Amino acid sequence: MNGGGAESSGRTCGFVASPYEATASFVAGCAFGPEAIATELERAAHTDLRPGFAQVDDWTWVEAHHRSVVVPDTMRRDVESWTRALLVAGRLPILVGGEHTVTAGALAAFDDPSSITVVQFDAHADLRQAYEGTPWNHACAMRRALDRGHPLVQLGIRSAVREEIGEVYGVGADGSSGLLLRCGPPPARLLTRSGLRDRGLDEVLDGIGARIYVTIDLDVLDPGCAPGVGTPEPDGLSFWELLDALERILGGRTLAGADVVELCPARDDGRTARLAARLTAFLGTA
Amino acid sequence: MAPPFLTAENLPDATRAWAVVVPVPFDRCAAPAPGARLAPAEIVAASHQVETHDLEAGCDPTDRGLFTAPPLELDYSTEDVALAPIGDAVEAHARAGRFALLLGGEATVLAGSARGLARLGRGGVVRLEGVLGCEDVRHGLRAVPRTATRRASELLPVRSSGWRLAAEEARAFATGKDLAGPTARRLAARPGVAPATADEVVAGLPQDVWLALDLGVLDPSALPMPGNLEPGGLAYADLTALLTNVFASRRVLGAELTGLCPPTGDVLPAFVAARLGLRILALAHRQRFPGGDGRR
Ligand SMILES: [Mn+2]
Repeated sequence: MNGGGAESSGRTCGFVASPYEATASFVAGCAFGPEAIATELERAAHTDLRPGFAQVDDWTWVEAHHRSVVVPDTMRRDVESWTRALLVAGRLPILVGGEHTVTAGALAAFDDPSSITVVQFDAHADLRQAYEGTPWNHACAMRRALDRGHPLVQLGIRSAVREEIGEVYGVGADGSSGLLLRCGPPPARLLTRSGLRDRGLDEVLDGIGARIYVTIDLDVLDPGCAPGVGTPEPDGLSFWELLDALERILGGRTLAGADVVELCPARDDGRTARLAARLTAFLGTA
Repeated sequence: MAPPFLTAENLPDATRAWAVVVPVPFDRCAAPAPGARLAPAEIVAASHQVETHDLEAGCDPTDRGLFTAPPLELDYSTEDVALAPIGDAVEAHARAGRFALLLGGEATVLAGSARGLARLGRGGVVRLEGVLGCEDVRHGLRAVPRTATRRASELLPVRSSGWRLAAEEARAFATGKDLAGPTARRLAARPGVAPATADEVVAGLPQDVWLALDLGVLDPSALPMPGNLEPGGLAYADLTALLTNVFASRRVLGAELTGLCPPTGDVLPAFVAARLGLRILALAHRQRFPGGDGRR
């Protein structure tokens, strides 16, 4: 699929679809996420949502691999090579998942990890060393980013196990002390969902460098506005809350790449796919 | 052997547990929808998807060991016989100093819990519910969800908050007995409106309380489920903020979580219930072991 259209003067984006699903542990079906998002992107592409949203009038959509790919090395190789191809072509790579593990493929395309802060919106910390027998489980996605040396800022988190918090943020770190955790190097910050609501972004902005990679696990949103995810968690962000945070973080910074992951059409009535399409378009024109 | 709540392995019995989870498949009148008897098993199944370190409470309540009891066996031949095992379980665990979390079952469970609490001779009830349960008799029955709060109030101090529906009779009774706390409208945080405080939710209650949480207190957007259609319920964050404040102002002997009506057609409602169960246990753990991280 190719949206075509005239070359615009600004930077253009390219979408990399990765319908990868190998470790979804609750409700299966995120392999069908990219297809649903592509449909909504086409359907809704010609209506601006609000000021600040540009039309995606020159975009490329590539499928990095077929959804029968369930070997993590293959997925990462394919996503990395398509991401590199877009970077070489001067396009902003926007990855569309698939499960959160796909982020590792896109990050592998960046050779200077310490200069790219990963900004994660997610209900879950995703910091496990390994889960259910593999380090390439979606519950390990951000641990892999730290392994590469990316600074990390985690926002909206409301689910974790003690081992992963202790291993990354230090023994005794429990999240209750002000709902903001810090550690490093590489520098990492975790602001819980309540922390984000009560304290805002001020205290984490200094941990976000000039170049960022934004990863949005759709389960960061409230199940009321984004029910179509495989691991829904109550008390999520509203759509506007997420957009406000994104705009604030993007202000004055360069977006190196981004992804939107974990759409599960099996639990969706269409609204989550539409929302995911709006987010990918927003990021693609950022 | 049914799997335990939240954990992979059960303790051998209640004696070494600081907290006990008791499935109570009480389902007699299909209110607000049929299926409450299936809820405990659904909540336990969903609980295995819950990550058990509670970031907000700052602890993992499974660390010190939980015991999930076998489901209560219920005989509905008379009201007394049906409610007796609930009261017995509540009394036994409270006397042993264990925190009990009852997984209902319909909201009627409170009529049973109250019997056990009354025999303890101390404690009151923090009731959170969507429909004020202060009617006297419904369909010829004295112990149904719409009457459970009233039955409890006949035995010990009760305060009901968060409700957004009330029959005329129920409202009159609650007002007369001074057991009506702030409604959902007064508890819902929104721009320009300061929500009612937890003080109002526990006003007049003794230091020891039982937390009787009926899931119907949540808004349909937070708990999309058959039988939970009425607008204006609490957001999940409203409810958890309230729970935190209740634990900050009272010693909580135990809790019940009622009102889930499977089959809901989705994994979310049972998961929300399981998540609330974790939060309640985490807050109880923090109250009982302040400063301790609970590592065994
Ligand atoms: Mn994730």
